[in-house]
Amino acid sequence: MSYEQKLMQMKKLLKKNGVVKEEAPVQSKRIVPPAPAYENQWLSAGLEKEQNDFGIVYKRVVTYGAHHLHGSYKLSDLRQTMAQWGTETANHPLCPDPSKPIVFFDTETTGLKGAGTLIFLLGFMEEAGDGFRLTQYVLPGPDHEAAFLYASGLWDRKLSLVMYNGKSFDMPQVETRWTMNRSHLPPLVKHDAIDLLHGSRRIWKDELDSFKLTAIEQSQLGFYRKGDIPGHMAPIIYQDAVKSGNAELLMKILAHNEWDILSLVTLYIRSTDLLLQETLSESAISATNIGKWYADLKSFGRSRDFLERVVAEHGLLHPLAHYHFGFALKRDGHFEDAAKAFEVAAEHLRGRERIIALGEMAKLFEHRMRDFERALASTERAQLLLNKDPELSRRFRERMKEDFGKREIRLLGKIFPGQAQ
Amino acid sequence: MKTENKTIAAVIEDLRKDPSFGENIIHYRKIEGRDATYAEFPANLHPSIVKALDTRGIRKLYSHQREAFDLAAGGRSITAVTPTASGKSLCYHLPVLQSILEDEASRALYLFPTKALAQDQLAELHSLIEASGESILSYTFDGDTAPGLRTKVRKSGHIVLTNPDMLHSGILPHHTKWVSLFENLKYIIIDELHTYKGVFGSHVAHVLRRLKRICNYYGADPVFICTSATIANPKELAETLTNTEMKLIANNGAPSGTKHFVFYNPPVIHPTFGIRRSAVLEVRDLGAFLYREGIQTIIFAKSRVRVEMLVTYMKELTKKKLYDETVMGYRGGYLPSERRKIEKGLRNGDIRTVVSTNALELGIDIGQLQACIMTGYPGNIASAFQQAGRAGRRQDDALIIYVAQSIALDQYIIDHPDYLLGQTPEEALIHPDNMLILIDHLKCASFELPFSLTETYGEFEVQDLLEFLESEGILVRTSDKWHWMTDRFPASEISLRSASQENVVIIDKTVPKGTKVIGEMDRYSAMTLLHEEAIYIHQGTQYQVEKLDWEEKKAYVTEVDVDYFTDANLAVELKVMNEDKIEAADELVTSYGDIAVLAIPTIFKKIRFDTHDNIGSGPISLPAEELHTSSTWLSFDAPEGWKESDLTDAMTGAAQAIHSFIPIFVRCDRTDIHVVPQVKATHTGKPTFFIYDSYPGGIGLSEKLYDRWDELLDLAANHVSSCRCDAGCPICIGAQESGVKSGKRRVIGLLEELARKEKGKREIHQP
Repeated sequence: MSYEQKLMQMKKLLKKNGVVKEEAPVQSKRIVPPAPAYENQWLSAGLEKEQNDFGIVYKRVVTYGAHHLHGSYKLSDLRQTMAQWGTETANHPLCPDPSKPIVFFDTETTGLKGAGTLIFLLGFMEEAGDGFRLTQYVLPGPDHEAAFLYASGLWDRKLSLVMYNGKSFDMPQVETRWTMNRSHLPPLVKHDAIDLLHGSRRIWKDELDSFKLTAIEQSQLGFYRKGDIPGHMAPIIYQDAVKSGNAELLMKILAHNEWDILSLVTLYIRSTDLLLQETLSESAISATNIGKWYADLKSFGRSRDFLERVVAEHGLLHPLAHYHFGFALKRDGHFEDAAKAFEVAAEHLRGRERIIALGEMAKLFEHRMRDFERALASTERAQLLLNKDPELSRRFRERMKEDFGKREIRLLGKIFPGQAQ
Repeated sequence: MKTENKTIAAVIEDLRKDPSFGENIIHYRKIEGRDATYAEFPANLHPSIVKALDTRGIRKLYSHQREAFDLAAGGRSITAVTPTASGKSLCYHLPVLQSILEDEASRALYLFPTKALAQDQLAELHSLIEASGESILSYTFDGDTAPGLRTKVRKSGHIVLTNPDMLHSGILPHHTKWVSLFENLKYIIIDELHTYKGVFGSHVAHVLRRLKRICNYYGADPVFICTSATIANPKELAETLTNTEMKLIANNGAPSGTKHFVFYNPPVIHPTFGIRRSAVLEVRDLGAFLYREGIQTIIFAKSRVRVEMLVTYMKELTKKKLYDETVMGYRGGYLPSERRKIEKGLRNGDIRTVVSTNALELGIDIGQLQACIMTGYPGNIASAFQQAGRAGRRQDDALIIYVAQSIALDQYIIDHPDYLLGQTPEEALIHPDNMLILIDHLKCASFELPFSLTETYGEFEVQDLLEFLESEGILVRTSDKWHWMTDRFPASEISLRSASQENVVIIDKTVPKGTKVIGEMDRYSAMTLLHEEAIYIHQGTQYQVEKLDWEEKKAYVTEVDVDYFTDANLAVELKVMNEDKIEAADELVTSYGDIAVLAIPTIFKKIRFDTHDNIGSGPISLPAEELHTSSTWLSFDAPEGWKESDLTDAMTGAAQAIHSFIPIFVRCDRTDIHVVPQVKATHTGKPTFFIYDSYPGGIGLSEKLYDRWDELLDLAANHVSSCRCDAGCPICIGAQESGVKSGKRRVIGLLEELARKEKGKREIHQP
């Protein structure tokens, strides 16, 4: 029988209240729900049971020695990472607030969005004693959400949470779940969020094709997973565990989550090293990206140091560094050097950056060196490219054409004063 | 350039004197204007609102605005019936602004049937707020809202203007992000209530039940304010739509101008068959007449094809002028930017003639037009009122010309003009009981908030249905609730607008490297309008469909210049699935139940412009579309001594006559319902007429007709026998082969016989 046919059969079951009446609000007095029927199966798969005022939650705790090796890094390297951030004065998105404990955090959910998507796994890793401790809370069933969220302690103390895409995904999900249970739970604390996906995109733009955590593990962290269940399977596996009572595959999702969190620790170490140890040998692309990032954060000195080193080490091989270095030189008042840097950029880059570099050259020649002929040459070159470079977007093309058009008229007026233009 | 415009009265006089028009004017009716009824401002009306109204020159209210304010402020949900240009928006702005000025935390949600209307209303609301000097934040929230602005709208927007689709898929499933709105929601505004009918209305009824459920969860109990055009059942519609008791405000205090109605019947060009000159051609000539007189005119045509044909004809008037845009088309399927431009041109008078489908019936502000031409009866009185209301906004005289087509209902109205002017518009029906729609929204509601084991949903007892959803693997039952347990996001799988969920995108590939999307169309219409070789007309430009990629839902078209348009046929197969009700007596059986309809487009015809000759045809190869819906059917024994071919012809003619009159009975659009005759139906084994709803799951039309077969047959029989033609014509039973007079006689005989037997059966069953 088709779905439609089944529904047509259902018509006979449909009952209606004659009168228009309001349903009672759903929030009633809360009764602690009983443990699910499959509790023993789940516990025997390797989970522990924890009880609190709101009911029950399952968990798994793993401890690691300080020198536990995950890929190329030891967990204890984190201590040096924290020490490096400790001496920082400038504000950086990856810099933790020393007054809050740093905790590495990742969730698994039953869907992608909306109030009907549940979090079923909350994983936390932090330093404990001599080593590290991973605590994973597992939702025993959809009716145990209050106990599950309460156990996480996210209502208790302010944390620096290190996450991967947590600003757009994990934290909004936690907020949604908290709102759904807000009549029972103490309010959620506002935590700091350090998002390593955001950091990775800044550092490895144009260098890595994929920013999936597993891809970064392989290229940057020296870690290769074996027998991993991909994260997108998590929703189906949890649903199956609830419907069938079988937790075998669910434990593999816990292992997946554990790897994710271990990699968060070593990715944080790796990212910090690249950002704070200028002597570390990294690629020209990522060093240029970091220089650009610092410039956007207004840490101009740091930015210049990174870019200067790329220019010195790689010369003409990496013209994008010259491009950004040009802005740094201009900012510092080295106008002639800046113009030279933009000249390199204009010669070797394509598309948008080439046009902007020519624009910067024209500005410097016109207003600083007062070399109107060269300013005009840059302008004319840019105008030519604006007409034939297919990589440019229409909006950019039109805006720049207008800019260069005005500049051309002005320059011609300066070169040939008195002539009608 | 243009001299002072003639008065409407003078234009009518000229029309009457004109030899090519005068004789065709069958009736003239004048509806006198009406003076305004005013009321004082309420004593507690906030001084800032008084100030804002003062800057617009408003020093007192129309009586209905005052009544709305008093009731809404007193916590009563209301429905106000407000014709075009009667100041309806103040019915809701005033109580909403008052509540926000009294309590800064208050919130209101405005619902408009389309995104465009919401954006239109925002501009008006902004200017009112600005004039008040208060800082009240109002935003539209739709697909166009910038991501950066969304958080601000959610957290601090006092008034959020949106549409049901966005509420359905963008707000309710994410209600946890809208806590400050839902906790403080005082008012829900439903503008253009009358547009929420049929399938769309049934969907929206459920969206509103979900909305109320979420409001209750957050402890709010908002008041509804609905405004509606004139329909027969505004209170009932609002109550069914919102599942909330309503107080009706029917006495409108706004003034209106005098309306001149001209009933125009095209001349008979084929007396034997009763065929009249094409209404489209008459409308073209009348439109040209008004264009030359400098009268700003709106022409309504029923289909997209007709709109485009008329635009093509009318543009002939401006052919000699370069870049002339005084004649424009306006219909669904144009891109939003194109539509905005046309609306602006109408408001500022750059456009003199606009040809529209009923897209413009909605309250989009296009300012004042002087005349309106209706190409045929729009299918229901409410639409006719809306179209007529487009002419002569405010207190000026207006001219409305009704041009009848050669079809039964149109000719009925030419014969009975008071049917149209009789102030009895039809009911707008919705059917939230439609099982498919109900289940879809029950899923969404479960996703938004788990149902408890005792909870009801709106007026429905749903525990059995929730159990069904559990058996389908969608929900999980725990100790106290039904929890959503799949990774799907149900709202994105459900479209409120149509039965078929995907639209076909129309791509112009005239310039191979410069392909562009020029419009879109729903799947069902695409079967007959975008098949390969179809001529698709867009803004008066003809395109031929080169390729229809049905899998990908893309139609590739190239520009052509031909002198014909195309028209396609659909073949249908019917299968009865359930027989819920049955009544039998005297070899006559009427039933009501569920059926499956299989629709297959078969052939298309090429029809020449101007002469409307058939100049060719071709096959259409597209897969069948299946529809499950409700139906009523009547089966009978074949009259003795009739050949099968006689019966086939008689039933085809009778079906056409029956179909024509259904809109008068259940007050729906002709396209909402189908009549199919079968000489030997699979289910009954006998000759059978099926009447079924055009939408999946049904919208309650055939259920109403099940009880009224006798009247329907009676009216159809009377109409056919009183038709002036000799042997059957398009107005009664459809055009017949020439010289055969027995066809019409048989149809009358059959209808009368069935009507008699049906009446007899009724007397047995309902003594």
